Amino acid sequence: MEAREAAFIAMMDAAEMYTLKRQALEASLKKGIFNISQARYAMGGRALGQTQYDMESMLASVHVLLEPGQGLEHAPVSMKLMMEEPCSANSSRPQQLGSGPQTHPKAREGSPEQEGEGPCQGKDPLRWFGVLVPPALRAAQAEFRA
Amino acid sequence: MAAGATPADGALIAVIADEDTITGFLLSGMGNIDMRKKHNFLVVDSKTPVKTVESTFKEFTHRDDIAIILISQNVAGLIRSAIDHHTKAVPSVLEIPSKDHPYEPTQDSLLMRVKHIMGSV
Repeated sequence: MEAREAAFIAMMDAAEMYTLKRQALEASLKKGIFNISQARYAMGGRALGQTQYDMESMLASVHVLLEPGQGLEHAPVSMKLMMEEPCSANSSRPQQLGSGPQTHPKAREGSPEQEGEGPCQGKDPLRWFGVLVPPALRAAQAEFRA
Repeated sequence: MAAGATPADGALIAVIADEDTITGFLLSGMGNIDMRKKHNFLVVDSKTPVKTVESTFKEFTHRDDIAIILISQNVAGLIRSAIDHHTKAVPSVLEIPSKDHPYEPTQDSLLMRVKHIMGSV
């Protein structure tokens, strides 16, 4: 009985956290999509869509690290987001984002403004849309990365 | 790497949504096209058949290299039965709002399950 209660309380806590995270996600998505619309307007009607995706060499720089879950049987895995810097000297070193005392999220150094630094030049998806992209598109990227 | 094997450096996040949402997530670095030209995203518009959406969703759920599936809530409504049948923890399915359709908590499959559990307690 106590185990069921503990599981129920854990579920409610998880649901609350899910709701809070969702609200933050909605806010970021709203801003990001608005920025994309602004960028499309700034680019003077040029397409800002799938025709410009890099369909030849697109590789993800964001990954999810799956780890065996702890505690509840209904949480078999825990997930941590691993995000590589888009353009930095250490672009091969991923930074780990996630909750828990074991993780030490680093400050997000290196921004899309550091484009043009040698080997990282081709990795930033902003490059698909031209060399000089409007600030709104960079802002959209920041919102979606958040 | 074998087809569908979880990469050593982490799994992917798949996205099924409208073009602007996909563009945004690709800008963040989520997009991936493997050696077999398999995408981890699907752009859904008014001309996309529901069968295509459903088959892509099922394909994503069977891939071992995908940990999370983000799907616009309005698109999820088109394949609600397929989403409800997906009960595995991995890949996790997360419904997100789209620019044309605000988020409806009453249609979120996860919150519906919580509500169902609360109702049965």
